[in-house]
Amino acid sequence: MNDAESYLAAIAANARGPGARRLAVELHDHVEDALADGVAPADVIERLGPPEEALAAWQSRVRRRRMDSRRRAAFVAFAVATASALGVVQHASGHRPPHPACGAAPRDSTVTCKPRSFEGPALGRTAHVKTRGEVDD
Amino acid sequence: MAREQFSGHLDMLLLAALRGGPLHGYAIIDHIRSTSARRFDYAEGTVYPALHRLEDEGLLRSRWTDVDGRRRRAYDLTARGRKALEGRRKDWELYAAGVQAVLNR
Repeated sequence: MNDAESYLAAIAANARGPGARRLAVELHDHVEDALADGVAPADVIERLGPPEEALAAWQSRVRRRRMDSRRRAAFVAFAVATASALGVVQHASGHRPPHPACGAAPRDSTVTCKPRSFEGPALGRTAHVKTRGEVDD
Repeated sequence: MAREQFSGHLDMLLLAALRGGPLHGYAIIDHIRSTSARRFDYAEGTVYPALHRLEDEGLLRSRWTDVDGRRRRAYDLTARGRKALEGRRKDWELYAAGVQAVLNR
């Protein structure tokens, strides 16, 4: 196994986490491109640096990503728990805010209003108005 | 430039290298090497984890492309990456001007 192969094997064996396989492929491509560019094999490996350095940078990225995921999951769990607790409290208290009567709320208000109870026919609409000369039965 | 100093500026240099359009890993490194006249001493293997990290942060996007018959992963700046580059460039210019002013005094 030559130096380039050893470097790539060390990366493939030790890089973990999402994207690790892609990292190994990209480093393989890098070696291929450098050799095609006329760089001597020993120089390619020297420029890449020790595999431990690339792996340390990789682990740092994986840790950061894991922390971000945990933070996001904790935030979602907190939001769900808060919403559930509020729902339970409201349900347990049975409290509903009273609706204002229609007409009491401002005209441009978006608050739902409660219609007034029906209190008999309104004059001029459904009631029959007696005219002069009409006699009750 | 020493490795420790360089690593603090790696992200900015990677974003700057992609300002002209998508490039794959080796081309990015080659661009930095040639435009800096080989002034930077760093392990080129660390560039790839940094590219993945910048992609995680939404500053880069990548896709497989065909380069001279070879399949390569090409990276490109996102709108957020372009904005981040401008911010880091301004910070760097202020920092460099400050250092220069102190050195020249």
